[in-house]
This record gives sequence, structure tokens and C-alpha cells, in this order.
Amino acid sequence: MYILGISCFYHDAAAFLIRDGLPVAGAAEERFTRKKHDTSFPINAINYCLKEAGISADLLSYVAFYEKPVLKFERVLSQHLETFPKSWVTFCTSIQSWISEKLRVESIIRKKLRYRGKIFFIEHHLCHAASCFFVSPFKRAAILAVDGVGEWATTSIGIGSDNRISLKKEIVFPHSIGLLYSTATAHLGFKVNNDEYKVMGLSAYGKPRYYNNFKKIIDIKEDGSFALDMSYFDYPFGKKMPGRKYIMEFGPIRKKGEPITKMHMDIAASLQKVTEEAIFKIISNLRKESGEENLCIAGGVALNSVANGKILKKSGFKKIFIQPAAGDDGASLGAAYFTWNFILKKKRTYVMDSASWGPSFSDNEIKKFLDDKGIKYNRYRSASALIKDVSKRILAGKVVGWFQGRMEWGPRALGNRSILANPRIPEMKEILNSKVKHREEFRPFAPAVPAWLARRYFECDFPVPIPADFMLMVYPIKKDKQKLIPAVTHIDGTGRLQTIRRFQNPLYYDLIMQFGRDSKVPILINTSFNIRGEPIVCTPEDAYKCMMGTGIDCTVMGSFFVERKNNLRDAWDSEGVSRNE
Amino acid sequence: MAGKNVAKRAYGGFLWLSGKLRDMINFIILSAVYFLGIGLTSVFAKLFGKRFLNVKKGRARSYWVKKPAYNEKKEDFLNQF
Ligand SMILES: [Fe+2]
Repeated sequence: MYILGISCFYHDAAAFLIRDGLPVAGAAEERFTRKKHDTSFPINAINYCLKEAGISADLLSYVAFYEKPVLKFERVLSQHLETFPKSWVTFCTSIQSWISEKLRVESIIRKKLRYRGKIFFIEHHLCHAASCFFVSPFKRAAILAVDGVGEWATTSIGIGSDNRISLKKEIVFPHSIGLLYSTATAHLGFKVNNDEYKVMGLSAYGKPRYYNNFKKIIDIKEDGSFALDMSYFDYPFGKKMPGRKYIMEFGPIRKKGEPITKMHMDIAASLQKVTEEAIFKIISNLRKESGEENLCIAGGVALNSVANGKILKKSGFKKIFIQPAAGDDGASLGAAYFTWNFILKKKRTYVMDSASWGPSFSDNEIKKFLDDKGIKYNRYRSASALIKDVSKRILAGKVVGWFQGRMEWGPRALGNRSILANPRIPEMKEILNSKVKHREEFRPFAPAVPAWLARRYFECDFPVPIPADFMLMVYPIKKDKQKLIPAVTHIDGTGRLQTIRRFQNPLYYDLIMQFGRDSKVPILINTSFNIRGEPIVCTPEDAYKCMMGTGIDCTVMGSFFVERKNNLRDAWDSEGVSRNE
Repeated sequence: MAGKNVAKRAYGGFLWLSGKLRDMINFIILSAVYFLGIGLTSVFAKLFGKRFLNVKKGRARSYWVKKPAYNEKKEDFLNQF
């Protein structure tokens, strides 16, 4: 039995297909359309999923959508009714998309897929809850879903047990930790729904001097519930999120191109502190009330890896699970699993311990691409030759594009569509920032380390939680090890590590181990394989184009080695055409 | 060739203008809907003390809202509301 989950029209559009409770394929639409955070109907992602399964849409038993559109529309109307006449312009500009697509989801699905079967519409936070609990290793767990907003709920807590989920309590719009974080993101001059992680990275540079200012805005109770003082916000009626009072409190909105000052860093640090306070109170209370030892988190706020890394220490929970696509893309997976486990009452049979659910390309396909384009390349004779050569190059300071196997599910590159480099070279962060990623100086790079060696370098939870495999946990780097890996040590001595277990990705794991033998430190820099402002690469063509437009020295695609300097006729300047900021 | 280019540009200009005109008409119609539909409802409802969002600062001991137990019937998940 095939079930297709779909999310779209708000944040990251995505599709996830399962067969008899096991994943077949999943991907975000942005990877195919090359439009970052594409919200449009994920027809390319769906077609890919169906192709991977070798079926057409009429063989789907069910389609599940990641929210209840009419319930969400009720909230949107309520916003306009409450804030009349301030919402006039927003109403006129946003209501058209409701009429043309958001309220016509069912007919769009039927028309685009030529599908006649049943379509389930599942409450958004139930999808988030299902997306983490049903694929977790836990028989029972407490669940927290926390994001900007679903239909009405912005924060939900409950319990999962076998194939049942029961959300008990919620905080509803307009009170939202996710929207508070997004408001601050906008105020600090970053892109909402895109750059929240940059604010998180920036927070390490500041001191929480504005903590008390934030405490004026958010009232957090001992039981973790919270309310925002809405006089500081414009988001219920306007496109601009911070209100006049917010700007009076924190200063003017940072404009495009303006330098990031100490004040901005301190605001980011204060925001992170108050966010963590709210999350930890919710979770500690959830632990007390539920009596559960395991915790599952989902929703956009679950991507706050700085907070995630502290949860087990602060809350009393023993184990934690977060799915790689914790945001709205992952809600498509949640919709599919909710249908299978909850609605159809099927037993749970799968634990998500790998994120490799996207498209892959065989050596024949890669060779055809390289030959067709007249690209100069070499081919490795064996995996061990590949590993030894790549490790040597990374050790020598080369920046390597790594294109292997199935593209990752979720926003992080985890060793299938990655750029790899040597973390022991102190200047490597600057080299990557200036030559390859063209990104802000303050953003850290991630270290990838075999899970069983993680405790040697990081002060991490033990056993290392699965979410660390998906780069969702930030931990302090041991003081005596920070000098060994300067390029991945953030200003506050932490690292957003990716732990890796061999069964997940043998070639990548073996490469890190080989690098460990060559350099005495089994850690690599792993950053996403993309041009600034573009989604992570999907196809060999995307990867080649990315390498030729940046300072990546070479790319290993399957068993092929392609060097930039040998193909300079295809070189171009990605920075010149970067779509970001 | 030059004539073709002029025609192409003129057609492009026409498309741009018609697009702008359509947006303007849409804006006028939606504004009417907004002020007559949303506006009147909002004003009357507020006269009778109805609030649509919980934006007022309260002195509640907790802000949690109990979630009603949902129906587990398969058919309920077919609804969009
Ligand atoms: Fe969400």
C-alpha cells in the first residue's frame, strides 16, 4: 500500500512516499525547481517519489495533506477581523492565493496527479507530532510540536504510544515562539523563514544584554506556557513583523548591507536565551506531567540546534529524537505516517536513522552527463583508491565537492551532497567563506565525526542521540581539542556536529576514518553543497555548475573525479549572480 | 527585422500594462470586499464585545489551552476543517 504525504503553499513544499509503512522516497520541491524554500505545489518532488517507486499516481492508496486548509483560513480571516482596518493591504495582496490555490488543494491534487482516491487532511501539529514520534525508536514518548503557526496552534504538547498520538494542550496564534524568533530575524536584517539559523549562529557572539527587554514582550509561566505582548508586533496584520514599539525597544531595523554591530549580536544572544528559557520550561513541565523518559520534538523551532544540545541536561528526559526534516517539509512525512499508523491503525515498523531518501545517480548516468558536456574527468578504480586520494587532497587543504548516493531528506547536507574540507587548518573557515560559500563571517562550519569517537572531542550526550546524526545538536567542543579543529570551533567553543555511523553512509564514514589516519583527527568539515542563496545541489549538473561557479577545487561524483582547473572553460562567477540578500 | 522588434516590444508593453490593470481592478474589488465584508463584521462584532484573536494581556496563571479530544473516525480526516 502506497501513501503519499504532501506539504506546500506556506513554507517548504515537499513530498514523502511510504510503502507498507516503510519509506520509499522524499524530497523538497526546491531541489528540483532550484528556488530556495519553494512553496509551490511539489509536483516535481511527487513525480520523483512516484518514479522511485516505479508507480503512477493511480496506484496510490491514499494522499495525505499536511494541514486543514479551511481551519487555517478561519484563522487568517480572524486576523483580518481582529485587526481591521490595519490589514487592508495584506488582505488584498494575500487573499488571492487563498482563492486560487490554498482553498483548492483537493482539486489541485486531483487535477495535477489525476488521482481519484481518498485525500486526508491532517491537522498541522498532528503531522509534526507524527513526523517525529512514528519514526522514532521509542514505544512511548512525550511530544512537543513547536513552530511559527499551523492552523491555530503554535505550540502543542502530548503523548505518543505505539500507533496513537494524543496532543493534550496547545498555545494558539498569535502567541508563538517561532514568530517571535522570525520577528527578531527580520529586525536584525535577515530573511524570515530562511535566516533564523543565522541569528542562532550570531547569538554566540553576543551577551544577553537585552534579555530583560525581551522579558517585557514575552510572559513565560513556570508551566512553560507563554504569551506575547502583541503591541510589539505587526505580524497579525502586516508583512513587516516588528511593530513600532518593538523598534523603539531594540532600535531601527538593520537594513540590507548595513554592518552587523555588537548591538545586533547582543539582541541575537538575548533572543536565544529567552527562546531557550521558554523551550526548557515547556519541556521540563512536559517531563513532570507526562512521566515519560523519551522526548520527540518537531516543527521549525526544533531546528534550533543550540537549544537542542542542552535539552537532555536541562529537562530530565533520558532520550531525544528529532527527525532530519523537522520543519514543514517533514510534515509531509508526518502526514503519510499519520495515515498509516494512526488512521489505518497499522503497527510501527520503521525507525528513521538515515536521511538518504532523495534522488541518486548511477555511475552510468554521471558518466553520460560528463561525456555529453565534454567535461574532463578521471575515474577511480576502487572505493579504497577514492578514499585515499580524497583524504590526501583534503589534508593538503583542497576544498572537495562530495556528490554520492541519495540526496538528503531535510535541510542539512549529511555527506551525500556536501562540501568537505580540513578542519585542522585555521584559515579554512575564511577560505570557505571567501572562495566557496560567500557567506557571513560569523557563521560556523560543521564538524563530521564517527559517532563512536564523538565523546573524544565533544561534550555530548551519551549515548549520542540520533538527531546528532542529522546535525541537529550543538555541543561544546572539549577545551583541549578546540585547538586541533580551529576551523569548526565556533566563537563560544561549540560545534554543530554531525555524527556518522558506518551503516548510514559507508564511503563517507570510511573517508573520515582515512582522514583520521592521515591527520590524526577523524573529523572533516561538512558544509552543504550549494551556491549562496540556492538550494543544495540535486543532480550531477547542479554539482558541476556549483563547483565551476565557486572556489571548490574538485568534485567526486560517484566514482568520478572532476577537477575545476581542468575545466576552466566552464568557469563562472556565482557571486556575481547570487540571488541572496 | 526592426519592425519585428518594435512589434515584440509593443506586445511586451501591452502585456505589462494589462497585468497592472488587472492588479488594480483586483485591488479595488478586494478592497470593497474588505471594507464591506470584513470591516462591517469586525465593527459590529467588536461593538458586542466579540474578539477574534486573543491579543489582550491577561493575568492567567497558565496560557495553555486544553485541546479537545479528537474524533478518531477515518471520515473526519477527509474534512478540510
Ligand atoms: Fe509547521
